[in-house]
Amino acid sequence: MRLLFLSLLVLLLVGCASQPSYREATDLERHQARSILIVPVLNNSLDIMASDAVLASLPRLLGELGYYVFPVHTVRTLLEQDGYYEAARIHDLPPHELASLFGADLVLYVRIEQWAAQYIVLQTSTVVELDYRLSNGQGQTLWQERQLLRHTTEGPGVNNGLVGLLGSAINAAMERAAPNFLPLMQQANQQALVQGSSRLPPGPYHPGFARYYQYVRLQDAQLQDMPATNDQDEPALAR
Amino acid sequence: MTEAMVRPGWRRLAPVLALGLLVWSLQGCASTPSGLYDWGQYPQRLHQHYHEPDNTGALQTELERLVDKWQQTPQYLPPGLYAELATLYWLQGQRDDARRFFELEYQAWPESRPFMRLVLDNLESGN
Repeated sequence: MRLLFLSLLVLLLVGCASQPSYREATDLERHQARSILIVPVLNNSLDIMASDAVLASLPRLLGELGYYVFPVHTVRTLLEQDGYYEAARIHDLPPHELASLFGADLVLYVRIEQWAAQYIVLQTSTVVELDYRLSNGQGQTLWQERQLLRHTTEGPGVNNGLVGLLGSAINAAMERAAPNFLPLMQQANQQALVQGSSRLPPGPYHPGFARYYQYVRLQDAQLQDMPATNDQDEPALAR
Repeated sequence: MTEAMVRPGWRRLAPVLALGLLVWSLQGCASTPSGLYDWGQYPQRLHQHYHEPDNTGALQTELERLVDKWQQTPQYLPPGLYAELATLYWLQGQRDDARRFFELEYQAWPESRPFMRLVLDNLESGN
């Protein structure tokens, strides 16, 4: 009985290992950063409130991923003391200067490309477009991601008559009065940084940090062993 | 080792184990944050702080509440919060409080040390 159980366990483990889908470590993973400096957000939209809304949303997100996040208000205050009031000027500074001033492993630059509500008779369409970029202390971009999200209130249905018309007018008016930028922005943050293929690796304070990088190193090592088989194909291409 | 030899020990151990489990689970219930840290209303108050620059009180009150709440278990206090509070004190001319909290940030987070050293040196030189 025990033997059966053991052999089943072995089979299970072998089964897990026999179908590998190796992937190379990403630039970000090779850097294995511990800390992220979030600099003031650059705003290319007409809504002057947008950049502060985005800035305030980021420390929690990155902190929960396990990174040391430099205190955004302290960073901003210090930069202002040095005469850097505008985000554009800070984004133009050489990244290595910023990184070495604060002792940061990574610098996160966020740019707002769109932050607007468009009104079309009985509909309101809210658009948020954000560009995220992580640079290392040498000024190399290690990771970049862009999110474009749109929320449109429902227009009148074909058969809804007057009630439907009234409903959509109310919806559009509500959205016009207080466009739903914040949920869209939070969704953009999530999709860029936390979910999907673009998501950041865990930081050093995340409980999964050690295991994650153990796995990354293992995969990388497996890949180093593999080129022997690739070499047989490569010369044909070289010729 | 036979089963008969193992069992009496188990009987004696079981209540102790059960009690330990109970204590452990109750301790777990003592309001630990759902994520890595307790951020409280820090993001919202920070946002508000930028919207209404005259109203700095709400952010400071929230930071003081969080620092106070996790005094015994500071591992639940998010990174950067000591320094944020220190900055608010510093801007109000409370330099001793500012220094104390910048030093707390320095102690708690090794990654903050180059930056905190810079800030503390600035404080000492009277800037």
